[in-house]
Amino acid sequence: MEALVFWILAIGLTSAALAVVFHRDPVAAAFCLLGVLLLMAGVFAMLQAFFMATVQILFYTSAVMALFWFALKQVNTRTEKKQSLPWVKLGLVGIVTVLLGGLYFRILGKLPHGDTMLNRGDESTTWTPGRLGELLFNTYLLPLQITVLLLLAAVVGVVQLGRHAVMGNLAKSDFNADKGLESEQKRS
Amino acid sequence: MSSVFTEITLNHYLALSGIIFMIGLAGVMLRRDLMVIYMCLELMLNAASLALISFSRFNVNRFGPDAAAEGQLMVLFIIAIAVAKAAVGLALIVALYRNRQTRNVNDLAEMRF
Repeated sequence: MEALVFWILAIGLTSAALAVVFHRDPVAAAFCLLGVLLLMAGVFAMLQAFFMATVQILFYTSAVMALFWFALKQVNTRTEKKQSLPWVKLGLVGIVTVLLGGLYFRILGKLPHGDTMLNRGDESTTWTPGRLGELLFNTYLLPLQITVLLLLAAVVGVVQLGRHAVMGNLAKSDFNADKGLESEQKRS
Repeated sequence: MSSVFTEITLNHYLALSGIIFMIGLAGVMLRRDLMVIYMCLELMLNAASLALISFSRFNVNRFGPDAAAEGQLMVLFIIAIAVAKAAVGLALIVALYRNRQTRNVNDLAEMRF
């Protein structure tokens, strides 16, 4: 049963990830990314990390997908111009990827306890949110604070970037208005 | 059926993580659309999360419930940082698009040496 669920999730994840890379339309790619994130939450739940699966769905999927959706609405989502596939580049990328992947799988083959079955044994070994929180607010308090500071910096940076984008637009339209005025004056 | 298909081990999860990471890496190298490159970065972050969670599960499975399973905490940090990265990066892309009307990285290559 576990094997069946794993293979379904694995095949779904791989095909959705491939669709993210190879789909021409960014909106469709965003939907495939949504699928990847949700299936990944399923894999987390298979590994008894139920809290992480919940966080993945509640925060990661909702926040990131909302951001992506908003950004896709802001920029022009017309499909890229149809052009012939860059075969040389595709080949080079394929070679690099296969080499790196081969190296990775070789290392996996030499992993000492790689053949441990993860879901054998009693199920009481799940990490509860309470224990995670205890660890987070005692041992990992400093990294937590640094992350909070990073999030604050991100918020400030995004606000600043947004303001500049709007002001840049205004300056451009002012410039165009001035040019229009000048050409009108010339014409008169 | 052979045991490779019926017994799901640590290696299976790590291999899945590696495959997704490689797909994301190939996407970053292959695609020219900034938005799609960003999505591929998310793929790579998720692959790293999967490896961390499977190692933490392995640790608990092997050394009992009191074993260190900080991998899950690292995933929590990854999620926080990924959201911050997505917010800043997408704001940058939108600002860039408003000024330049393009999302293609080939058109944004002034700083290439």
